[in-house]
Amino acid sequence: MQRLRPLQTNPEFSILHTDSFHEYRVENWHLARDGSGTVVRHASAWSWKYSLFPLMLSVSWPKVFAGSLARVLISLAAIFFVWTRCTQVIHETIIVLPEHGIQLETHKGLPPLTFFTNKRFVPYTILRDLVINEGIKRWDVRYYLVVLKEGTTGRVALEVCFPNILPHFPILLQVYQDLREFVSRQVPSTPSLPHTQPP
Amino acid sequence: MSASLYNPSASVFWPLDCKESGYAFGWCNNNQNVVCIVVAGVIQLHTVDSKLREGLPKLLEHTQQHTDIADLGELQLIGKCTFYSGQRKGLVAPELEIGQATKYSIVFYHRHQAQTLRFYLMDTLGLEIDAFNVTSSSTVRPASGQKSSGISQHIVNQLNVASIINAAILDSLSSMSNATPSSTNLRRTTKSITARTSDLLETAISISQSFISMPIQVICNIHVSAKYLLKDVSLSVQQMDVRADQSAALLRQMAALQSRREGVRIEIYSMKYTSFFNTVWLILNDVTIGYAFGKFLCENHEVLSGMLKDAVENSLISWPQRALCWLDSWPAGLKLNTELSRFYSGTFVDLVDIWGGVLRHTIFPQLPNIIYIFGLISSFGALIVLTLHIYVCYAIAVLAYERALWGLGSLWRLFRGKRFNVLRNRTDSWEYDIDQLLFGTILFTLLAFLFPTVLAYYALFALLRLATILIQASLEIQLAFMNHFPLFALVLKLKDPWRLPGGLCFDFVRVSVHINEHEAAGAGTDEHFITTLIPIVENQPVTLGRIFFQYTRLWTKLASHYHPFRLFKSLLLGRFLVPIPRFD
Repeated sequence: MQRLRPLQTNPEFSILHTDSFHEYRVENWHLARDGSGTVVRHASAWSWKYSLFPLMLSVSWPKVFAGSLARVLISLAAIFFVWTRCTQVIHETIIVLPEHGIQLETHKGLPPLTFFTNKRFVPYTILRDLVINEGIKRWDVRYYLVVLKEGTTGRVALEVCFPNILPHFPILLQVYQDLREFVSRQVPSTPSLPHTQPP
Repeated sequence: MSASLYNPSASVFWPLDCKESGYAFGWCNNNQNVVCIVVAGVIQLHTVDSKLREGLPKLLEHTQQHTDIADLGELQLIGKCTFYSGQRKGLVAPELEIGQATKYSIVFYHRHQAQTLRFYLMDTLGLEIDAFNVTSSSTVRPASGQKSSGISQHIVNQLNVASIINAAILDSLSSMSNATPSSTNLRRTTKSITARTSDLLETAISISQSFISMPIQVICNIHVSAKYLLKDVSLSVQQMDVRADQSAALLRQMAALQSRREGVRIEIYSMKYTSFFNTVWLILNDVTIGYAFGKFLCENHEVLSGMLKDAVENSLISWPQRALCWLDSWPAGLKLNTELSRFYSGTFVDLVDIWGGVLRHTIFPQLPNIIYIFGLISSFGALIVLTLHIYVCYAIAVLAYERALWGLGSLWRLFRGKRFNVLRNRTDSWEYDIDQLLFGTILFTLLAFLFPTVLAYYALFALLRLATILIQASLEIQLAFMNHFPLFALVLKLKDPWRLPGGLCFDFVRVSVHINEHEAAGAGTDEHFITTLIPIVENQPVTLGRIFFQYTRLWTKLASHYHPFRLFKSLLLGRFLVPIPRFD
């Protein structure tokens, strides 16, 4: 059970194969896009700057009148600061259980600890297809991998994989090609693509 | 990506709390060519001798006929299982010998007792829908009969009844081996929790129902005018109607819950239970708050009537009159047309005066008694009665304003040489005669100079009308929220999220798996155990959005009607402001 990193240009993407499941994980950092090799992190662990906030809080607290609006605002600001630091996205994964379905997870917390996990499970009975699509995000066009699922009423809903990180295309292509055979085997209505070797 | 990742193997759903070796029994689901096995329980080796072993299949069949789970598949003996735990700490996976499959992968699941009312659900169902329309097949249905080789609603149903079946079989086994005849204990394990209290409640509600339902129906359906029934007009009568409907529904739900003794379907029972208690809580809450408020009003009706009198005099009678006098005398330095302004303010001051006189001489002396009656029936019509004069003045003002505005617009177009084409709904150029132009210009000048006066008086009453509508809307919103607040679901979500499922997810646990010596030598270890990760089926609690889905619907309707931009535009154009229509 070893974690592989198949892509040279995107080492934040790793794959884990076990007997009971396959995991495709994208962590919340990437190499700088200009090719210099520096690591750009989007989720920051505890740094020394964070220690200044309790200092500022303890200095400003007695200076303000008890029960006044300023104290309420200060405490709200402190809570908001703690909340934003503790709900940073650490990594997002797709876990494929070969007979049951696909589970999309998002792990949030204070790196490296995970506090919250959001899991969405799509069983093969609901799964209809797996698609890479383009979408507009602010001034940018991003590729995203989406799972199509059909509910009881026949209404088709989309579940975006890696919704917070939105990794770049090479990662999505790798995941798509790996997942293709699961989706095409389990969902007989989708056409099964011929399995091609990478060039 | 050289080798295929897909290695099909049978998946076996094993209950997490089952750690005995013996004979496993459950359901074998054959879909496509892959087998999916759900183990309901294990019969221990030492409780059966060889004589009973032959009787086991017959026992399973007998149990299956006794309950109503025939549509879940055939209950059968799966095979033998062994636990090699020994002194191993942590979870250990069983080793199975199954006839049909050599390769299998284990998925754990929680096997809950029947009394806890916990269950799995494949997909969320609306919590407000009538649980009585839910049948066992109306949840997730695979498209056109396609069956999956893994987890599906069928399997989830089996997981839910596993505990009951296990208890039943073990009971029958013990009764068989003890050779004492005992009736099956299915009834005891599935007995309703609220047996005695529910009987009491049921008799109370049915008695009150039989007395009150007929008069309430008659009252609610009195025709106030040709189109509207009484319950459309008065809020309190509507409340009575709603409560009567709810108590009738309660009786039906209770009857269905009582008849559950023979069934084993946990999920349907649990949902009915939840919705029943939600309704009970709502009604109790309503009755309690209504009674408390009514008592408060009745006891303090003198004091309240004095306060109300002062407040109404001050804010609704004298304030508009003072404001009108202010508008009459060059408000904020604006020179309004003197005659028109005198006419407007005179009219409105007289109107307000008349209504003030009506209030003062007929209603205010009766106010203590009226408040007493309101305490008894808790009506909101008071607001409409008190602000009737504002409604009338607003109607007049908006009439004049809208006509003036439209006239100005039309004459402005004439000024520029254009005309509004009603057939095509657009502005076209048009040749006017010279006398039309002259007359139009004179009228335009007249209207233009009178317009500020009309605008000033309209602004005052439009703002008052807006305030009245907003207050009325907030009262109605409060009422609607109180009627449908899902407190039971919220508290249940906090206390035991397992009882309110909103989907499935898989978690992974580290488990020790026993391997024989051949494999151990191949892996290069001397231990007979390797640790792997095995999935567990977990329940995902329903999200807050689903619990409050009725509120989001209500909110979107309200927001679209009372949107500030829309209100502002209606004010500017002089459209008549109405509160949200109650029945559309």
